[in-house]
Amino acid sequence: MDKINRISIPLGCIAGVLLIFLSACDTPTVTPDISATKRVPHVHTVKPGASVKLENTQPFILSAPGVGDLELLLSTPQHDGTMAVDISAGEGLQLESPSHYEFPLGQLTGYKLPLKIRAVSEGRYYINLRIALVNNEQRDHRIITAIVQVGESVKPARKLSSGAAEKNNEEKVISLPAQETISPAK
Amino acid sequence: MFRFYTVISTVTWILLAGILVACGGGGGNSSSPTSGVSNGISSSSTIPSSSSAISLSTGSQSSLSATLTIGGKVTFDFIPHNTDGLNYSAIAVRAGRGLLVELLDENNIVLTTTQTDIDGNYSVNTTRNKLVKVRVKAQLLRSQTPVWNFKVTDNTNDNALYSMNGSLVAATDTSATRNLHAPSGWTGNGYTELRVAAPFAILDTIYEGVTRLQSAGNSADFPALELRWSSKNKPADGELTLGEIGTSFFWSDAIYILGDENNDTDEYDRHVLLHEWGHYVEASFSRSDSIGGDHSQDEKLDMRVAMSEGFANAFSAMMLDDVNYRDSSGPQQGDGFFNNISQKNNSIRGWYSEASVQSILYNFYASNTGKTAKNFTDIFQIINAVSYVNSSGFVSIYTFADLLRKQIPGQATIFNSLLVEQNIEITDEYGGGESNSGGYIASLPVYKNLSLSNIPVNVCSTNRFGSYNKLATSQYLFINVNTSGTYKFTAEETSDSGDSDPDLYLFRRGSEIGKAEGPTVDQESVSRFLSVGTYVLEVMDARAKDIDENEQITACFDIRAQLLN
Repeated sequence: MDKINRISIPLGCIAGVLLIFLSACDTPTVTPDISATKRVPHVHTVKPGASVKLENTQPFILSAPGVGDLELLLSTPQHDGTMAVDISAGEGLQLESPSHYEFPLGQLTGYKLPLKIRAVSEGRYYINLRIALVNNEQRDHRIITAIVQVGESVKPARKLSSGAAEKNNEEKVISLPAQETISPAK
Repeated sequence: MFRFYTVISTVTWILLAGILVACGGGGGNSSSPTSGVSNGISSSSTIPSSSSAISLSTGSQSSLSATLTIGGKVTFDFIPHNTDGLNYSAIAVRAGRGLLVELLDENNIVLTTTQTDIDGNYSVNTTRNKLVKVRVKAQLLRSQTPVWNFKVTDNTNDNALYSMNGSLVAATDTSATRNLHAPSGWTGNGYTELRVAAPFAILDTIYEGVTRLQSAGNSADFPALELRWSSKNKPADGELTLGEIGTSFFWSDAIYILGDENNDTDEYDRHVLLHEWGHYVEASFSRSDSIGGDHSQDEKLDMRVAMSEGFANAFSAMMLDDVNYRDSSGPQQGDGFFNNISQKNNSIRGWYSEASVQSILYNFYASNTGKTAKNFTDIFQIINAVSYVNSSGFVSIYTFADLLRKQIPGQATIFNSLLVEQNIEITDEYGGGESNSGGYIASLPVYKNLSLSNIPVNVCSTNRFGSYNKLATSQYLFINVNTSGTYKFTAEETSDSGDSDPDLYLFRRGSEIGKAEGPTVDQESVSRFLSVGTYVLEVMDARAKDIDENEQITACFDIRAQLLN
């Protein structure tokens, strides 16, 4: 009996292993569908507002400080009404062309804004567009900012204007000053 | 032995002396903020000088406990809206709710932590006479179920966490109450001082959303989320670390928020914040199949985008119980726009309309017919339901409507009337029987049934309503698999649209399980092993998806499916 047991156990193991292999043979050659992944959107959504976008590749490049011409191209799928654009230059940049444009909507080729700008030094600058799409009573807005790189594209020195960031163990913390009132215990 | 005791005694005295020196020395604010702005400590405060604060009079010490409670109130400046922009003449002081408060020593070591209550109050215990300062982090942190961790960080400064600090002052009875206020930085014509309040204003809006979600019955943990804000964050598409974030948006585990003064800021635009947080809620507690991209109320959208954006708009209005979605911008933040979320007479109405979805959801929320008005519980329990999350089709207004009718049959009539008002038929969860084609007949039926017997179904992909995420850019085919096996799906152009580029995407309950985006002109195929169940095949012409495509494209394809083995 003892000898039978000693033989039956290994045979049982072999049988079990064989069963496993046989069942594996039924598995299709193509990997089963077990690793479905949530599809990540190609692009994130924008916050609600007028459906208008800047078609140009950014940033716009001016090789050196001085005056430069650039043409912004806006597009919108809306076909009715008008588009009004107010333009302002960010700090360090001057706008030397008209700052307001209006277009009747319905153009297939986009809406061009020919701009003349002046930059006094190298750096990264911005042009702000306040855009309103108006159709009868409906008025939608969108703010778009164009980037202008004058000279070499280098990452500007980080300005610690919002308070020094200090290491606090693992976490980097920005310390802003509170308006504090101190008084005796109540 | 005597020598041993002598050594011990000596050491003891040395130690005692050391303690006395430490208590009596130091002082001053060795770790004061570097901003250079005054702490604005009130003249009513009775801050003792550092040396006298630390003195230990043995006579008085014997009657005082060794510990002391430091407490106070945390507040911030809140700036409301007027019709369009921000109203700086009505700045209000609001309580900083649920904020993480730390007590730090002179080495910035955290001694103890707590949180503010719903009135902004906090209290902590510390050693009497110890030099301490209060720090309030721009963080909502809860460590017991349901947990949450929401932080406001600066994406232009290595995602550092914002905080506001009080002064380093000895803990005595005369300095036991320490109130900390975060000022807006507005001084009449601009933000000429630090915008300390901005991170706390953002967090308070999130706190509101968390509170409402808890009231609606949520018991699940909140995934950690960073709210990334900087005064440099501007609507330029470029480097996130430079603040060129394009727009306020939700992506993965963060919400990026605009802060560019006189251009576009969102820290006080609570609807904007809650719209983005609504996408976070979809991702964390529900399901969204949105493919993202540009969208507006005047467009005919892919129904997945219409549902997600309409929900987020309605969600923001529900959380604030304010139908007017407001977004400030422009010089001195005095411009902007508002949109009545409950509006029904939208120019675009249908299952592809963001405006329709927001109107339906909000008006159902606000209804008091047979239900409690303005109770988010009904809606939350639908979007949080297992059957909603596991829907075989893409999440759309049909998915929501069908489940609402099943879960709350008493509200079916009300909800159906809201659908009809928006030109949406009463259908099953897949839009079966819908008659509103959006002006393009090939967009119906919403789902085409695809046989697995190699019988073609013709579908058309077009960018006539816009590219990428608009109505009929993609077509959906429903597949019922009754026998497990490897199936092959093919697309072949039947129209004459030039060099078409069909792409195929296979989904199981909203998750992509296969795709084919090859460059072969006019043809495409994908094979996958499929278990028994239902699937959706999405078909589109890559040219219709391309946002840089200027030509109007309509390409039609025969779609086939067959079992290989």
